[in-house]
Amino acid sequence: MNVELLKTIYFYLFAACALAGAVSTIAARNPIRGAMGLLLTIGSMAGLFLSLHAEFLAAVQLIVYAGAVVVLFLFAIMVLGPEAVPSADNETVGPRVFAGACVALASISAVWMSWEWTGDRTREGARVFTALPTADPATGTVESVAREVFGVGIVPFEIASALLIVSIVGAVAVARGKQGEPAHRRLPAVPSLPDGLVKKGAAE
Amino acid sequence: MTPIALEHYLILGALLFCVGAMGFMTRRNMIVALMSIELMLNAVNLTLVAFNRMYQQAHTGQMFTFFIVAVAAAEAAVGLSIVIALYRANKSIRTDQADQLKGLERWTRSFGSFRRSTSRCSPSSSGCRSSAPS
Repeated sequence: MNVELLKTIYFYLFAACALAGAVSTIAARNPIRGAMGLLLTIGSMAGLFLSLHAEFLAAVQLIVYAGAVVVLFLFAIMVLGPEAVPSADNETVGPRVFAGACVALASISAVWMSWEWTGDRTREGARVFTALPTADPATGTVESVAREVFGVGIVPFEIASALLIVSIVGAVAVARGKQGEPAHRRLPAVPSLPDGLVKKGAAE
Repeated sequence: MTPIALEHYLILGALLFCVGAMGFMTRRNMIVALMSIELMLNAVNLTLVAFNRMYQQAHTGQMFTFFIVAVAAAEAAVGLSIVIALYRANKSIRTDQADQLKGLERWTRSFGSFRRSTSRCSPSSSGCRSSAPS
């Protein structure tokens, strides 16, 4: 079978899955179904990364996004429970429809402009696709990405590690609420006072 | 049939970004808004990797994607903890009911319809949570 045809089928299959997952993410009434749509989008994105010769990023996408982020979303949805889902009323429907229409218009015009104003053309002025070059065998392997990350990107890499630590500590502190206060700052409980002190205070 | 080119990936990334932006604008569930942000970040990742495939002498695009994944994980953790804290304080994760910082009532009272639409406990509102006995 023709390899180009296989590549084309592969791309359109994963592109359709990614778009369907994205639409079901934002359209699902139940947030659990939305998280499943997000999972479908992320898996399809990993497949597209593979077709772009980014094998390391495909693995990272599956491990971090599908394995951690989506599970975190599912945990949050389950912790909040079904009462947290907003009711299906028509409040604020006007501003939201307006904002959605603005975003749709802006995005359609952006896609059209990027199609019309960039890229190569034939002599008759027809827009032609920009063919991808032949893949270098070293593209996207762990070694070549690591050379980049630990070469020019070593400072952002260290800052990213600090960011992850700070965000995890901050997430625990924010989600824990008032129970997280240290013991010496809590108000002393009255029954824990010694008997002598209480009687002395009452006599005075 | 044209072989798959750079523009296919870029247009797919743009469409995914638009879907995410529309979800962020139109949905009131704060968790769905966070998932829309993840969609937008994923679309940008796809664009970066596609450009990296185009100019494959360096791996700067994949490096950026790597950092975006890290930042997205941190953002999801912090955002979801904020959602949980908001639900604890507000008994609601609706984005239009998170209006504790909107203190000047007299400014919003002049916008009658807007005020009615965002008031937390109008009698017609079925999603009135703060007046429910806890």
